Amino acid sequence: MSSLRLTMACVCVTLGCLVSPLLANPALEGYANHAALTERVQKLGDSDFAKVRSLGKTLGERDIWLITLGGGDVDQNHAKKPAILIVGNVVAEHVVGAEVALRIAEQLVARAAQDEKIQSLLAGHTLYIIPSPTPDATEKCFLPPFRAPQGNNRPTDDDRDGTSGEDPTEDLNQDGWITMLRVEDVAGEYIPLPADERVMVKAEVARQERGRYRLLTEGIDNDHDDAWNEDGSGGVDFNKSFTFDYPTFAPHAGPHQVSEIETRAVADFCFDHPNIAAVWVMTPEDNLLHPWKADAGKEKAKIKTTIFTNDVMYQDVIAELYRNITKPKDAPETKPTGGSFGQWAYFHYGRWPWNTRLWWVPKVEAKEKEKEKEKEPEDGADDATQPGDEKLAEKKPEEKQPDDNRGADERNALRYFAANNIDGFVPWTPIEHPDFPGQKVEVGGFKPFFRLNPPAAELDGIVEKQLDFLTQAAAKWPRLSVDKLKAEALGGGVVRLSLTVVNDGFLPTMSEMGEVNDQMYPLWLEWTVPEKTVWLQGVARTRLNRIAGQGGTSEQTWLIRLPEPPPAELKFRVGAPSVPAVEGAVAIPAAMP
Amino acid sequence: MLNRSRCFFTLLLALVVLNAPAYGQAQAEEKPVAKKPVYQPQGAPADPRVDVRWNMFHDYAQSSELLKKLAATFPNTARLQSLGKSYGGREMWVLTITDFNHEDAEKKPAFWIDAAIHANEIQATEVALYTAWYLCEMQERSDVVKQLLAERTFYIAPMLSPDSRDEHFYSANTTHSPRTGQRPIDDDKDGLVDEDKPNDLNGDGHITQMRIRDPQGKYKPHPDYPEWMIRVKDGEQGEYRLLGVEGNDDDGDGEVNEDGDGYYDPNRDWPADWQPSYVQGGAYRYPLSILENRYVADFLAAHPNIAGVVSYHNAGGMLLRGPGLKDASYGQTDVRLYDVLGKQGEKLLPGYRYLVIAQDLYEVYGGSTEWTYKQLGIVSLTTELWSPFNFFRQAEHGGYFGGEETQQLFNKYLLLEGGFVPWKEVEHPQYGKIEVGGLKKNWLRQPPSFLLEEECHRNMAFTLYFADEMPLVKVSSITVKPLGQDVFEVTAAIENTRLIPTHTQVDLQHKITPPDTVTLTAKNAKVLAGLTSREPFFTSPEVQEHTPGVLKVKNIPGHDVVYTRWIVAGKGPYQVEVQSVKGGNARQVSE
Repeated sequence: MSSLRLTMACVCVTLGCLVSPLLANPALEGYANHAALTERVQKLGDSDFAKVRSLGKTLGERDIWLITLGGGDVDQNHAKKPAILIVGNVVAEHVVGAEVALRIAEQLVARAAQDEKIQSLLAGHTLYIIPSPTPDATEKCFLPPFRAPQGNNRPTDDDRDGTSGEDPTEDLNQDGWITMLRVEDVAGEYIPLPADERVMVKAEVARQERGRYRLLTEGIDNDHDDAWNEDGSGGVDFNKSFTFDYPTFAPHAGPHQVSEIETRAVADFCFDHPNIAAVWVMTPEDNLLHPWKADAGKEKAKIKTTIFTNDVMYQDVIAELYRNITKPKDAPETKPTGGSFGQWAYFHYGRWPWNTRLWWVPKVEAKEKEKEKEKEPEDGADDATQPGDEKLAEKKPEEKQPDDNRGADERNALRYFAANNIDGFVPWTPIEHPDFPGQKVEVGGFKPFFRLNPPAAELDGIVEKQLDFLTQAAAKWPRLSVDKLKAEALGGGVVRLSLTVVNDGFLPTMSEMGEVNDQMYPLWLEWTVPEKTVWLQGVARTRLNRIAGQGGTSEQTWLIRLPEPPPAELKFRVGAPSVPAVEGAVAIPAAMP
Repeated sequence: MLNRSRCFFTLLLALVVLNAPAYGQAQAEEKPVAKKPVYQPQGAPADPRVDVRWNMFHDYAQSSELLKKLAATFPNTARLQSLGKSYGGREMWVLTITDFNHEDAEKKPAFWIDAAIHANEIQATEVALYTAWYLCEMQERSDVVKQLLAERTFYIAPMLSPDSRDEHFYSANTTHSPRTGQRPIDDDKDGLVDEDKPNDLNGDGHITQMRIRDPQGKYKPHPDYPEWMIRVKDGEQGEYRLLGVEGNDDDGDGEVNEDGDGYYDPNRDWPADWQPSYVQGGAYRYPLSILENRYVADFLAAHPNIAGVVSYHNAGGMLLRGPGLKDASYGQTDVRLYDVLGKQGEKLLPGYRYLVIAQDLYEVYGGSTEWTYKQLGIVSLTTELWSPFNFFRQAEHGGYFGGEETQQLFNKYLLLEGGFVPWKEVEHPQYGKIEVGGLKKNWLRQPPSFLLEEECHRNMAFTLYFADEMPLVKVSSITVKPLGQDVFEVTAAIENTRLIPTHTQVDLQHKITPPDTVTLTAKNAKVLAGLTSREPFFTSPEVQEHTPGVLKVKNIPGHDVVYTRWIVAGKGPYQVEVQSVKGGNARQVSE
């Protein structure tokens, strides 16, 4: 551990020298940018348990790193063992995904020599870890002015006007962050939230509110099309690019599905590795804390859009395992976006989809005083946020309001920032804006990253829980045995072979989705027989259907005629790339008189 | 040997042609060669500069050579490029044909022709090659072709699956194979690839059928056409049992032909409505996961001037438009365009029917022309070549290939029984003594030699009609009205003289192609305001606040006019220029 910290410190120092003219992102202190990540990934390659290679170079010429971990000769054996694929940082702003995926690899390597649980994990499984699948997009997080990246380095025409990147955001107040603009305007739809005027919400007629602000991203209308910052050439978003529920024509979804070097590299890697049976994705679109629900009514549809009931029962137990280990409190629920990698992993790739958010802004209770204020906001509570023009201020109606829960997450985040001394919000401050001469324009709002990525000090604790989950989830793997093995001589060299393949593990031999979409490789049972054996019933290589977990079985019989002299025994082997094979033999009894 | 020497000879010829132009021209100037006059038929020239036979099929090498020869012989008309190499290392040719001396090829409205993405559909390539050849040869002989090439660019990709083309030509196959590409695929996911293909048991280059004598069998030869196996009536004694496609159990697993050429369908690989193989059989990993297709998609994306697409397939004689899915529909404005084109196609191509893929055929997710229409906004048709109408010039209702009786009649009297391999006994390792025979690979989907040239010409003629209906913009008038104090009102009528709009409905819906622009320029004048209107009186004009000198026009509908008006301080002359990505460029100067 200490050596790791030391390395980290060294990296930081080196980086500091390299990028000293640049401002480091305060929200990502202690997180690795691409250069630092590359250095740490390559260092892993020194270990006997790890092999490191690049899946390709992106448009920005950054490597898409793959770390392969396993016991024994990892280079020779990785494809022969069942595998879990871990993919971090599919959403660029969610840098914690890359950091945790990488730290999982680092911890496994560091402990592999001593820790028995990890030894047994690496003996039975291969781990493929792609910490930073869209490195160009992620790198934008580290370059000022800081804003949540929309995609990779491909020039895109986000507003479809025939020109790429003609109206990007600008850091108008020069604070190093791209936040928001609020423009006082009678046609505006927004108001400051009465309970906390830093937070902007849409005015609601039902509350007798009237909008008086326009809300825009920080910048100017460079191309004079009356849209602000609508084409910053944001690139293609890795997590909107995959084939399931692909949002055609949506901004940042790319020209078509899987259009990018990195999306193709990751998808092809997946298809080339049939030994993968579970895909663990670090993503805000969690499904271990809020598991996907089955909908039996939709299961018969030609195109599957809900998880199968037969998969939910297993997936729910894995999710429960995750919750028991991580003990989440108040985890937010985020619906997956169209084209997401996490959904693709299940619906089109057929693997167990484990999607985890890793961290969220913890709930901070409002103090009594603030609660009162929420009930009855005072005038002039906060100078910076108070609209200057009294005439525009709405008279607060006397009658009782419907419960105002608007902006709850934002208000909680502000309380969390205050309680932890985090500078995560830019107070609204007036500026001169060339597009709005004579109008009051203010810059302010939430800084990106702070609500999605924990302070680096919390990372070790998060990683520890993920390691626990990893070793325990891997122990749920399908495990084959063979029962009722029999060879009966029927006379004249004719033999009936029978056996039952049993799955003693928890998980089925594949997900039902993997069977339906035919992306999982099935179990094959293969007999080794002497030449000139005649198959009377059945064939030498038998494809077995999915076997359920917790004692599911598959009974098989064959009728063969063996040549003279018959062998003493016949050998068989049953397995799949993602299910460890078992081998056995059955003695051939002497022919009946 | 014969093949090789012919190749060598044609190569020599190509070299001579390559070196010819300058030399030949100089000669011609000195003393015109007294040529014996040629009696020219209508259609193709009798004395072409590049000699080709159009009653035969060209393999990959022959097709490549022809393309190179066209580019060498007609350097101002044809330019050849390769988009890249196929999986098997063959070139993905695209021939650009236009009048290179007249405007920039990439700025003219362009037509894309591709062929034989399903490589077994071999005459598709011939139609594309014929089109290329004909345009080159006829540019100086036909005013219509000359003008077409002055106004338009053609991008012709005659072989989208070149590896499988050679596979069809030179390996044993049926008329239906290979539809897939040549990447190895483990269809049954047993860790082995293509381990049990059909086998050419009698070594004749055709994959036919197997039958075995069996009094319990349900088949017997047809009394008039003994090659044809027909089912016996209930209770009637049969003579044969059919054993399926010619082949044996290569991998000794007890099953025959269970893992042939890895199956993926290159025409289920395009982005529009793509679904994986459990929904759409033949889909590969993800859209454009087949490299050859990705080359094509990249080319199309880089050429937004393409305003018309025809993709040649076989068979059945059909002009197909989308939608490919039953619950989808096209906008009415676009459907009207397709209907005009389709009806004209039915006239020019007797026996062909204009149909909708999902309604009249079957549902297709990820077809190429659905993508070029829905996501690139291009009017696109899939042509299924070869109508069974051609057997006897009668409407045939026996599916895509005509009724079996018609086929037999045609085989017997027109093909002189050449279309079938006679049943012949072979020893089969699993089944024992069996017979092999049946339909050859070179017809049914493909026309016989004497109908091939007609197929090529008629389809080209329809495609040229289609190409001519792509948008073509012009400035039809400019009127200048003085408003006093050196201020003028300049009004221009901008016309699209063809059927297809500069932006299809689907294009407008998704803002695929940037708007057309109409720009006013004058040396000493300043544009004060700019307006556009759909009618000449500007009763409810659209006013463009920013950059009024460059007016953006969302669309210029087919056979229609858009009016633009500027209020200008300063005298003319004024130049008005219209620039349309899909409709071309035109300009005019006021008097």
